[in-house]
Amino acid sequence: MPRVLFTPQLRRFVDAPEHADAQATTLRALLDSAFLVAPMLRGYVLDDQGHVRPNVVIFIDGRRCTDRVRLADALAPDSTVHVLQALSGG
Amino acid sequence: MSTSAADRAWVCTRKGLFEMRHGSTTGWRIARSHFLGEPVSAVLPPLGGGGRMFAALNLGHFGAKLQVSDDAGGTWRELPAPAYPEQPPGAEGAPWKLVQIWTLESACDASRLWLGTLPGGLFASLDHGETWQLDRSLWDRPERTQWMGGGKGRPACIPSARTRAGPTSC
Repeated sequence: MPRVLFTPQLRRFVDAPEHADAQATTLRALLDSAFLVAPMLRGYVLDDQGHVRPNVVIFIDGRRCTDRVRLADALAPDSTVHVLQALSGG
Repeated sequence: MSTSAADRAWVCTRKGLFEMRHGSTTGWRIARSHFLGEPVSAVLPPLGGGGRMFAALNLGHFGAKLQVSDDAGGTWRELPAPAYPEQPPGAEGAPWKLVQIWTLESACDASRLWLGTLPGGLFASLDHGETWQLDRSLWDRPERTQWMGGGKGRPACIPSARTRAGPTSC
């Protein structure tokens, strides 16, 4: 089943699992299942409107997530999702 | 910076929250530090010098956060930050997303708390900060889309405990 892995940086601030698995066919469904276990984690990844935060990046099977608003990207049964903080600044 | 007694002050910085104490022989000195390395945008010291206090953080990548201490800064725990409601399609003005907690205020008896934000919304809490509600009477004003200035080039809301609300934008 699909798996989501969260950057270790999140665990500096919030109780976040290292990874979460769920029977999910979309990115949002997978993330929602992880947020059920760690409700405070949601606000670190998504904003008030449920969109991916501007400086958070999500990769699905090595490809950057393109739908940062609906999070409707499809997942394969063996997909691996990485949630990372985007590099910024200079 | 905020004070709750003549000999104590809290200083919010981009590198943490610093509790200052003034001694008759030592002058002002850092007594404790909190959230070292993290940007602290606002603090609400405990009323009367002890008890519940709040600190607002801006964690950049991960957004604005709200921390509460029930022992005047001895220990902290995170509370859910105020969240804007679902934005109607086509709504004008700034996105309905919490950018930063700009300031915190309380009624004199702590029965009500206010929290001012970027992009300009005012939130109120009747349960000591556990939950927050957007003040729609202010947010829904039609002239809000014309607000400007305030903080970081965006509208900011700074409540006063005496007057309840005072957006700084013009």
